[in-house]
Amino acid sequence: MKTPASKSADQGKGVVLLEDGATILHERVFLRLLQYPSGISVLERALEQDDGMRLVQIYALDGVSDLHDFATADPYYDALEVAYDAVQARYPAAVSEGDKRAWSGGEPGRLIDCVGDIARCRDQGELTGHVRRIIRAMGADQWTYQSISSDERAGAIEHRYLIGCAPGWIQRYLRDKRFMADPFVEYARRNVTPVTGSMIGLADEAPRLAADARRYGVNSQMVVPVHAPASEVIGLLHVSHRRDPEQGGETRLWSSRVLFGALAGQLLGWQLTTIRRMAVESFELDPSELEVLRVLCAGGYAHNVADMLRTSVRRVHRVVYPRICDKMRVSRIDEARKLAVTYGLIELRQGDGSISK
Amino acid sequence: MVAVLSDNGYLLSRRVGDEPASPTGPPVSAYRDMARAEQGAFADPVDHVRRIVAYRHLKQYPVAVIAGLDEQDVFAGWRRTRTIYFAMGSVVTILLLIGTVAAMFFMRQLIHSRAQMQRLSETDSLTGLPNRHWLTLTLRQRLLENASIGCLAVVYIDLDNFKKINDSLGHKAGDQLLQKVASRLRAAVGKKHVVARIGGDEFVILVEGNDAAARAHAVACDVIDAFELAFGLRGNSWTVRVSIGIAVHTGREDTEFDLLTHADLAMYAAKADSKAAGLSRQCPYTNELSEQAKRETERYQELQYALNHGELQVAYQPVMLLATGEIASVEALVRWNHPQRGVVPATDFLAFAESTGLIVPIGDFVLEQVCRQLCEWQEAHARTPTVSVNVSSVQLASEHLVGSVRHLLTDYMIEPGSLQFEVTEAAFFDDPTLMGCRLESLRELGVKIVLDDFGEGRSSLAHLWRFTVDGVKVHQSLTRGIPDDKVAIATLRSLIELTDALDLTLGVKGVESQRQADWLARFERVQVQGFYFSKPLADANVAARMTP
Repeated sequence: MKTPASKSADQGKGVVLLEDGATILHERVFLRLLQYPSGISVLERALEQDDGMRLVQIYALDGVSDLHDFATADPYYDALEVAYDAVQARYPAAVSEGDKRAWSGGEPGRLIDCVGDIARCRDQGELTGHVRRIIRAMGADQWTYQSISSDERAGAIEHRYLIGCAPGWIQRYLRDKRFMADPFVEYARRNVTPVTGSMIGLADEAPRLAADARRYGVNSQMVVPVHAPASEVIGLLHVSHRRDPEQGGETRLWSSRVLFGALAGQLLGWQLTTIRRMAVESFELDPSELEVLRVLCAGGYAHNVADMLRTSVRRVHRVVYPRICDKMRVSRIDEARKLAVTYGLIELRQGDGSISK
Repeated sequence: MVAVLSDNGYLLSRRVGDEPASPTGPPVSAYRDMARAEQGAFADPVDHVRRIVAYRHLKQYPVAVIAGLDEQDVFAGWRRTRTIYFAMGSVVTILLLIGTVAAMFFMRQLIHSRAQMQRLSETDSLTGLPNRHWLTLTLRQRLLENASIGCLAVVYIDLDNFKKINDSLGHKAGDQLLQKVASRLRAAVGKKHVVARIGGDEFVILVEGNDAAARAHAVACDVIDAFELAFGLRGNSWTVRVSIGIAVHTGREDTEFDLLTHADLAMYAAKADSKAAGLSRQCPYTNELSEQAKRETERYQELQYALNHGELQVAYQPVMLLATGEIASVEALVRWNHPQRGVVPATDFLAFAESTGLIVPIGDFVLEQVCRQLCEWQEAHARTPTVSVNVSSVQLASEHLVGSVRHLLTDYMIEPGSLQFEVTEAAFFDDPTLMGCRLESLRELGVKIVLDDFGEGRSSLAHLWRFTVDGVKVHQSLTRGIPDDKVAIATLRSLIELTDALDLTLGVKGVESQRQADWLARFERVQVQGFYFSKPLADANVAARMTP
């Protein structure tokens, strides 16, 4: 299952230094060590279940001890020991290969500007490092950014976690599938305003979750949910402070809620842009095809498309639509339109540098 | 070469080696330089070979003779020798150079290896922290500087429940936990102080600077704070408690081992405290701790001496059957005949013996004494009472107990049913499964088991059915309530009914008055024990009260 590292890397894409995994009963776990052009190594752990659930953890490594912490906290460590050893053997080389300038930045000056800078992060390694510094400056100790997306066609749900907390805590959280009954996640599905643990009644609603969190210094908690219009992706920025709520931990988090909200929005935006870029690359749609989809999404019909392309309606039905459906691997143009909405393709404009091929 | 020149300037004859003489040649002026110098090295004008020549003019004849030797021939030997010496010199020089370079290389390797070995010898391979060897060397060096008095402290850290984690998750996870602990300690104390690992789960932080006591206290607080957070291992959260002892260098006479011993003593004091509270604790060293340790050592040695030199004796307290007034059984009680302090009751030393592990040899001694006595009584009397022996949880945990009892029963040929073990409930708290197995094994030998001191502490009726026992002995705190305390009476009545129903024997300890005996007399099956009936007796006195 181990694959050799690919040496070529595009802008924003990491070089996969190592990929390995194991199957444990009905679950498959994959580990990938990625090296980004920003010089940061990221360990990606993905757990796939038979029911279509996929849990992805993204952990930016800042040293061998980080890797050790993450590995030993893994509930499947025994099955993945060889894989972790291989990652550990490859990691120091990865560190020496990459330049670490991205980590050496000072404390963020104007926080809101720094939040805005997130859009310029080239990869998730750089993103994690940047978010880590911003959140520390905003007064939180630990954080995670969770995004939940679902693919109705494939019947798959993906939970993606950008980790800025103790690895032991997130491993425990995922091992026990705490997200299934996490009041914060339930709240985030229906709301977009920040909420603290006390406001949501976390200690009463999920006492075990709260008690487990406290063992890792997650005493005061706040979650900032974000939703993307025209997309089913939900984002949750979870920040915490070591102080108890009674000692002002939550107050401290709450006072920065606006900034945290902006940060969560930026994180979701960054994620959607990445998804969009990947979708465009994956579907290989050209600008005119994107324009066709945009017309359809705006409520247009085949004759509108024909007018736009200065061709006949017959040609639209017999050539243009089948080509789009073929590229997007769907059978009907309406499905292609829905997929374009899901991946945010219709927001792209011709000549947009981020998507033009 | 030999040449003859005429005075009128002609070369008359010239001969070189075996070549034929050559009468012709250049004019004599060509040999002018030779003639003028009379001798020297010159290039021959005929063949241009450089020769060393001598010139002589023959006075009687008008001729002169020139004799010359080829310079090449003359110096050939010298040149050969010079070449050989040069070659030898070159070889020797090259060899010397190679040797020097090799020596320098090996020296460098040696220095590197030595540094590496020193680093290895001073580093703990698991955590990468300095080890005990480094710590003792460093402490010794610091203690030699008198300036370290009051400015050097040792913070001794021991993990409280490490063994449990090691046993639960295995040694690999245990090692990983130790690595995490080391990492967390380093993060907690920063670069200001050095952390060393000196044993399995023991770490030391070296604190230096003015007012080391206050600094060490602050460091200990930081460590305790850091350990409030759980460690994630295999998807589980483990909270590790720490016991911290602090020792400050205060005396000029202190050695590094004294300092570590002091910190260790303080750590044990903190551990005793933290075990009770279930929290991390720190404790500074005081002289009192050393004195207490000294007292305990002396006491230990004294008790060991008593055991080895026959100062321990076994007495037997009769347990009466109220219905018949006969001795139902006797309870073996150990006594210490101290040469200075007289008879020391078991309550004064058994708890200490249990905490130090001496209870095992003491228990073995009592058991052997009892078996020997039973053997004697069985030979002398037709009916002998059952003898009860108290067995502590430490003894019960020992895997040798069952084998030892089996051997004693065989060696002394005593009926297993005449031996009875009294076990307190506290024995079941630590490892109920193991204790249950041990009791079952003893019962299989035919030995009876009685639950002692029932009714005190965490008495659980479940123990009556979970661990198959033959009887129950009620704690004397219940007996004290007879006949006035309604609760005590009601409890006793219920217990009597319960034991009747379960067909268990019921013993009541601590009967000390007529009133208590009268009240208990209504229950025929109850066995009673106490000073009212008899104090503990020597074996001879017990024998006297037995039926011959």
